[in-house]
Amino acid sequence: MIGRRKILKWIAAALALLLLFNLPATCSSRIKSVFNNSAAPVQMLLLSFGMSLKEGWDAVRGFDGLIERNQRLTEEVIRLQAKAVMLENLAEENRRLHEQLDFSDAQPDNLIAAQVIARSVSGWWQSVRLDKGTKHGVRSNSPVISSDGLVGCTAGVSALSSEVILVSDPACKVSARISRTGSFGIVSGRGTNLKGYPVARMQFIHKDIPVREGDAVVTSGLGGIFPKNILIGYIDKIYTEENGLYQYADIIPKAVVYLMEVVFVSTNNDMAEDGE
Amino acid sequence: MKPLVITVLLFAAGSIQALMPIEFPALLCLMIFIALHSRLNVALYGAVIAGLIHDSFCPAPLGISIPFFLLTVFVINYIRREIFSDIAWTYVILGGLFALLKTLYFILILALFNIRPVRTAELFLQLVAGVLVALFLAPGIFLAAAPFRDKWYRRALR
Repeated sequence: MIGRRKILKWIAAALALLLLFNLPATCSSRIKSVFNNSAAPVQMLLLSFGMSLKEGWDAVRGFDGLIERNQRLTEEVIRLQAKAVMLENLAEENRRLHEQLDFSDAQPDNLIAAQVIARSVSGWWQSVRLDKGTKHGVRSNSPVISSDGLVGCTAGVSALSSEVILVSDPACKVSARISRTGSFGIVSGRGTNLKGYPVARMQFIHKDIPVREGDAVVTSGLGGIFPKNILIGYIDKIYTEENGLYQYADIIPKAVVYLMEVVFVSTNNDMAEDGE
Repeated sequence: MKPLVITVLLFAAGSIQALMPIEFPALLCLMIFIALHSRLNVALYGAVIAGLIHDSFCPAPLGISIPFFLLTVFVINYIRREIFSDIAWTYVILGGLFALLKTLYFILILALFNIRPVRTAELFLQLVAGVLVALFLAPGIFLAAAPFRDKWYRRALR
């Protein structure tokens, strides 16, 4: 009798597991939301605790550390002043060109600033978690950008947090354009390379396009999710397909390699869906 | 260990794991500890919770890692009667072994269900980083829990 009860228990457990695997997407995202909503405040607390520890350690390092820091900051100020002058010239030139071409401003105007509070617990997925969710106006399938360019797009959005699939994840596909030549292609993630850096690949570049290493790759604006002219990264290596019809290139996604603590979620694209 | 304590500990381990910039198998190492120090049914409960937390904290399909954690509990439960001794080296070996098994499990599942392509570079990084960190983390958890272990056993005996 006990044996039969035990068998029934195991069958029930196996069925429950099978049911869990085959749950509809909305149900599984709700279950995930429960865990993520409970974890978001804890992760924010742990993150701020870690930051305070780091600041404390810096303070303990004392005066020597301050001198080094001061020297570094002075150099940084000089470098930034030079850069600012250069950028002012560029901005002026840009303004004139815009006026001449009657260029419409393609920058998204509804940006939500969000802090990166966690990374994917599994190395197989390239994603980060933000501290903003549906409560703050974030929807799934919204582009996420930083000052370095395109970071990725939002996926599973819960009330208090949202998951961002990075450009380096194979699930992220972006219609892209090589800035210098204007040629189009598709950028998809390739995970990490042997050095541990995130990488992406641009495919379907016409064989006759003279692509160079270091060329900037930007979003094309096609597809409706990502706004136009957002920097994705720079071309690292170029290859030709075996059939000789197309070229493809490995890209270093700048905004993912130098991932900022604060990123921006754009909310004015048509393809975004309500989260949860 | 009580289920509530296990839930809180696994939740904390998952949250810490999510903050680390490298592969940091805190959930796995904690599960090894739980499997060695709890009754089978409690450890199985822990395995399900660990799987749910793991899959919630990454874009993986929900439930994909539960079979692996269940397998971990079953294997450890089986071998602990035969070869288990509560020393740091046990955790070093089990940590490395199960980190390796976890990588192999995910390769199999990702390929079998065509969830995503597995690249050699990623596979290599996962194997090396996961195993190396687990070699240190598993005995680390064992040493951190040392002050509490006697207390749990006294309570269990009562």
